[in-house]
Amino acid sequence: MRILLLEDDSRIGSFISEGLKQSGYAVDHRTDGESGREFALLTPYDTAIIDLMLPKLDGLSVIRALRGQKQTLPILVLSAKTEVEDRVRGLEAGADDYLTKPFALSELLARVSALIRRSTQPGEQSLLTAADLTVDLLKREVKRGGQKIELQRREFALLEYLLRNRGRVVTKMMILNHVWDYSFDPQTNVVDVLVYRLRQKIDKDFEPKLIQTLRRSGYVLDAG
Amino acid sequence: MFWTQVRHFTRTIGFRLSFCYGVLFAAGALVLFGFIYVLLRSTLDRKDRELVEVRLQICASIYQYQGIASLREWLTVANEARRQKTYFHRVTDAAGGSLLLVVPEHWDATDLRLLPDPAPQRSDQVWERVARDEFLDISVVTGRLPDGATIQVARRTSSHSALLERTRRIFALVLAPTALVGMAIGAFATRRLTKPLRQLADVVREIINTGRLEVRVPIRRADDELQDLIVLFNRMIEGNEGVLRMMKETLDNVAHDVRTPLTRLRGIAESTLREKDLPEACAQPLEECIAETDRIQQLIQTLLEVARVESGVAEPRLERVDIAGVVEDAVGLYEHVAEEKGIDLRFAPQRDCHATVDPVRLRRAFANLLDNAVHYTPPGGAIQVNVECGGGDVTVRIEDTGVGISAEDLPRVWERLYRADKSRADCGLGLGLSLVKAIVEANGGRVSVQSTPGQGSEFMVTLPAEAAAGSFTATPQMAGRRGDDAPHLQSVRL
Repeated sequence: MRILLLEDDSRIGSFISEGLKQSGYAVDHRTDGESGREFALLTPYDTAIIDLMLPKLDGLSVIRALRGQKQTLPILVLSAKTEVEDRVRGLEAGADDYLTKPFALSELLARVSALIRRSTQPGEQSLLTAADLTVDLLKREVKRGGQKIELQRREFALLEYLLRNRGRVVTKMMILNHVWDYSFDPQTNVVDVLVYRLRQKIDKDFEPKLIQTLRRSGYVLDAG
Repeated sequence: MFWTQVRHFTRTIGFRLSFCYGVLFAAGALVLFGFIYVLLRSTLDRKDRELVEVRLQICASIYQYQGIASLREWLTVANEARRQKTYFHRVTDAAGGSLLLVVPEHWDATDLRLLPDPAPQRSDQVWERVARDEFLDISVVTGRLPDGATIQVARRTSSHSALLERTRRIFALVLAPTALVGMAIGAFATRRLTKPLRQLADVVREIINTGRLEVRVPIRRADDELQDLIVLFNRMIEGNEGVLRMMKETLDNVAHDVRTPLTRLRGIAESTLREKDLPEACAQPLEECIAETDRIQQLIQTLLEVARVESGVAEPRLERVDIAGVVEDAVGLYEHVAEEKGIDLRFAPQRDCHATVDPVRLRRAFANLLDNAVHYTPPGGAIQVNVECGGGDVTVRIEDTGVGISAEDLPRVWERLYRADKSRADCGLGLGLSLVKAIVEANGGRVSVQSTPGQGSEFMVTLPAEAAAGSFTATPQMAGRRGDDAPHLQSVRL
């Protein structure tokens, strides 16, 4: 997996690139928009991480240039601006996800992983499984060890999201985005509560425990 | 309703000016006619008057210098010479005895009866016009002679009352259309004249409704006071736009300049934590560093956002939405949390309460209010959320059975950085509420709060149904937090 990173701040750029390398990605780090565009057009990358404020050519122009060349790689935008307009502009230009500075490295890694999964897993499955847990998306039916489990709407949405990202970390913000369509963090720990409820239903009376909590990162659903 | 519209219409400049035009036109026409009428009548009279007066002068001189006999003789000659007796003559002595009476052939008893009594004369010479019938008038002059005798000369003349009557009627017919034409011209002129004013009003309305300052009033070719006003207005808007742009840039720069070092700080701490052989003594402080970075970032973010919304720098993303739907989304975020905490969260919306607002930010405002309610309501309590509309307003009420707010704190809860409980380590409850206030006000609404300490609080958001103005921004917060097996409500609040 090869990732293009466009970030002009060398300090931030180096810790992102270190983090990505530790997670097993190959990283090309460029510090200006122009050379970033050159690199992106010459090399087939799996993902691009682009800061919006770049010297020579700004991030939005780079994204437009890539999309103009029919490049379909997933793009994650980084920005120190938080305005909804910037977010929307980034997504309109063709970005797939948006992260505001300062961000947690774990958040960035989780999102990159989710973006790569989405781009490499085209078909939507209707039956998701993990160990003895099965979720039938069409019938909206959840079973564990053959036992039917009733889930509420949001619990079901969370479980589906965790299963789709099986083995990958999903962060609180990703869950908020996906389950509630919220782009800001409410002060009350609504995500923890939802995860707790889901665990009570699918993990409490069963083994192995499927949902793991990762310190400072988020959650991961894995059969072990 | 109809009468209100009529009253509103009659108060417009257009109507008032065209009404004035109409009245002025009518008054002008009336004066003009009066003048023409008087002139016409006096011209007609002068001719008739001169004829009898000249005759009277001649007769008076003959009588005075040659005696009544000569006068009689002259009249006979004159009448015969003209073959027709046109003039009536009468001379009466001081006692009233008739000295001479010459009556034209075509005269009859009516003419004689109509003649004024020659005896009592106030002045030396009096001219009168007596209407005989539809077609004829009698022009008569009565003069007093030095010896006390009275001489009267009269003749028939064509009546001018018919002519004057016709003139009056024509004028009466013309007056109403003249007034109407005047009003029409007035309406046209004022419409043209007030067009820039209407354009100005449209532009101001657009700015109020959309919060966008790029619009300008079109410049006309004319060079008058209105043009002056428009040019000045446009210049003012340009100035405001510049100030706003500068503020936006400043806010963006502050955001960027603060976030970049924060990102570095957080990144350094986080990547150090990822080192495999990190001693535990270092891990703890690094984690605290990260937690503090997140706290600072949230604080700055909310502060910047309040500033952005309050200053109108943020562009609005207005949509016509059912407010109940927006509130429902916010309630959906807290239903599980409330349930776990043993709080009865009830939502009773009235549907189809539409308003044109920025739904994303408004949802955030409602979420902030609910966050507070959930936080301050003890287990076993209740939160009631209502949405109602009527009277041009949509009202959202969030009532809780929480700790309440003391009377002295109540008016200040909306203030930035105001904290009711000074001892609490929570960071800035007031910041969250000031964001609520800024968002609601940017949407043209207002906020209010009532509370009884120990019993609960009621927060109320009132939005204008269908109307909107203003702007603001919702932002994602990427701070990852610890998740534990058992949930517990966090105390970091904005």
